[in-house]
Amino acid sequence: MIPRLALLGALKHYKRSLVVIGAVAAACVVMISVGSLLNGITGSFYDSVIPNSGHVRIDDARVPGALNPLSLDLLIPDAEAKIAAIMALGDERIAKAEPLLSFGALIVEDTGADEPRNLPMRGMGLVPDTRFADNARFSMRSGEFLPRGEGIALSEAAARLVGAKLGGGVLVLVQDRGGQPWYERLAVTGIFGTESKDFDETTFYISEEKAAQMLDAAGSAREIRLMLKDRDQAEAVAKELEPVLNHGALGDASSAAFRILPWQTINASIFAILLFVKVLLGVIMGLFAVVAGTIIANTSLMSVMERLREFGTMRAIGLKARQLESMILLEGILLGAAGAAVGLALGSLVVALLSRGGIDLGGLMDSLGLSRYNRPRPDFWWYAFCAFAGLGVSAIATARAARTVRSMGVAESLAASA
Amino acid sequence: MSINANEAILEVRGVTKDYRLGKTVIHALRGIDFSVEAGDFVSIVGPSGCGKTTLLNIIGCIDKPSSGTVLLGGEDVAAFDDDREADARLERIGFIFQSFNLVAVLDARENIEFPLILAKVPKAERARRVDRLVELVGLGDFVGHKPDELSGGQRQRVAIARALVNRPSIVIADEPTANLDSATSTTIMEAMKRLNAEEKVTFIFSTHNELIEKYAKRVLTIRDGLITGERRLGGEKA
Repeated sequence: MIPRLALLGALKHYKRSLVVIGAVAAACVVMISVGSLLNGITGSFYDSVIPNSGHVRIDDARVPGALNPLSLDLLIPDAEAKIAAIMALGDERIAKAEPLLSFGALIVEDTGADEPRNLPMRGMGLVPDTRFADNARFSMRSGEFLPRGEGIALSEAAARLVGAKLGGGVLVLVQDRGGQPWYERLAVTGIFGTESKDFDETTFYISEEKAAQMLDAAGSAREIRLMLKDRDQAEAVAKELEPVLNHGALGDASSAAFRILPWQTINASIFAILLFVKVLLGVIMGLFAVVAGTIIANTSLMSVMERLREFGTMRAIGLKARQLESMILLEGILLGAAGAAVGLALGSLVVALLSRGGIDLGGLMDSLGLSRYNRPRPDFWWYAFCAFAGLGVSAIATARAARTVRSMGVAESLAASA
Repeated sequence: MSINANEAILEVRGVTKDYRLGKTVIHALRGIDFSVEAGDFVSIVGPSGCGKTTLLNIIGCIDKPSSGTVLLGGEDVAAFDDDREADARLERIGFIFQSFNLVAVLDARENIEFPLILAKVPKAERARRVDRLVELVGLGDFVGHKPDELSGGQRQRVAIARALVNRPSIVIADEPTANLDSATSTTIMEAMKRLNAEEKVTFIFSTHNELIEKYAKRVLTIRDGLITGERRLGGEKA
């Protein structure tokens, strides 16, 4: 009878019920949308940044203090030998190790123009079958990503700025290890377009072999990147490699010590920003929950105050105070469940619509090396949490009204609207 | 609860009730003493504001006295906690209100059945008791109607059936005919009278209508929170 009375009460006072359902649904929609947006940002970070930086990065220990981090004095000598030695350790957690040779360069237009355009960029020398640089490799607009290690892969934005086309060429100017200028005409074999404007305007790819040749740095690498089978093992692997590389058989007395950085350390600044974004969005979600809770609490209170005589009558004929409290709470829970269901449906729809085109989050994401177009990602557990949170907010907010009515005497309830 | 006739099922001793309105104390009841025997048909009469409703609320375990004792079947209701008070209202007292006070979302039959559900009476027994009371109060084909689809008289019949359904030792009716026309009032009082005579239901009702008070066997007159007179009538309408 009590569940039925709760349901009938909610139906009878449908206008107030709709307000409660609407408040819960709105809170759920906001939480689902914001949470999915956050999930999208975090997912984008894991998808893009980690494959780009690797799970563990090994580079020269002097890099942090260097005036020019791209200085050719900061290269790792005999990188291939070190990679071979790392792989020879037989650590099953390490899936792949690659050398990467990054350098500063000037890309110059090669169209025969009187005043050729040029663009200062960062070149990335990669092995042809690289497992890194996912954001460029998987976003080719035309051509291929360094087919057989040939040519240069430029972004659409960079190609436009220097008038390059697929099949055409650009001049790549560098300063080699001896300080001598060197330029070479490279055929544009691939044009990519990531969703990060900053990245596209500053980065190009050539093969690691070509880069070493142009820089006169054969066998050297700017860094060695490790891809692990389980990214959560990065800190442990880095810690275990540190003595091996710096003090063990691989240690090179003639060179500076190496830095061995797990991805958590490499991306510490991004983590900090993500944390800030999480806190900010968490506050927004919390505010919505508080607003929804306040609306529900006041609506519930008004609703029960309007029905005081009915409640008083029920108690006068034998309903216990706690049964009445349960009935009001149950009504709140039923409305919360209805609101959560509506919120789940609407929230899913909003996330689906936003996922189609993505949301342009602008320069902030660009500066993090992430896609500026965030696509919210649905997450079953987050949806479930939002539904339960909506239900919980409704129950807690209704509890106040239920307690108020419970605390009133029967005669007081009967007299309230008499 | 089975109680023999001539046994006091309700005793009210020195009951007072004070209300505070800011710094003002209103003495609604100022020392009420009386007792009610099983099968009695007692009318409490007096002008508006004399304390009739307050007294009925106190003896019906709906309100608590400021002082004094109410013994229900020999038990002091002051010793009851909230749950026992609710149990007393459910099992030992039936209440009929001036404004009918039916549960709006339930139909007539469900309103009558409600106390039985609270008392966890089995379904078949519930149906049997409700059917009998529907016949007894003459509700007929209106049992499926919601309160707002019933006339005042029909609503009060539902309220009477609801008050009786758990076979209480006392039925308290607070001005049961105040919102009814005279013809319907007569019908309702006749129904209560019949139930008292045939079913031995003990009634205590308040009224300020002289025509209605004459249905009672005993009339207690209240004025300014005190019983100022008691008369015994034949129990027939004069």
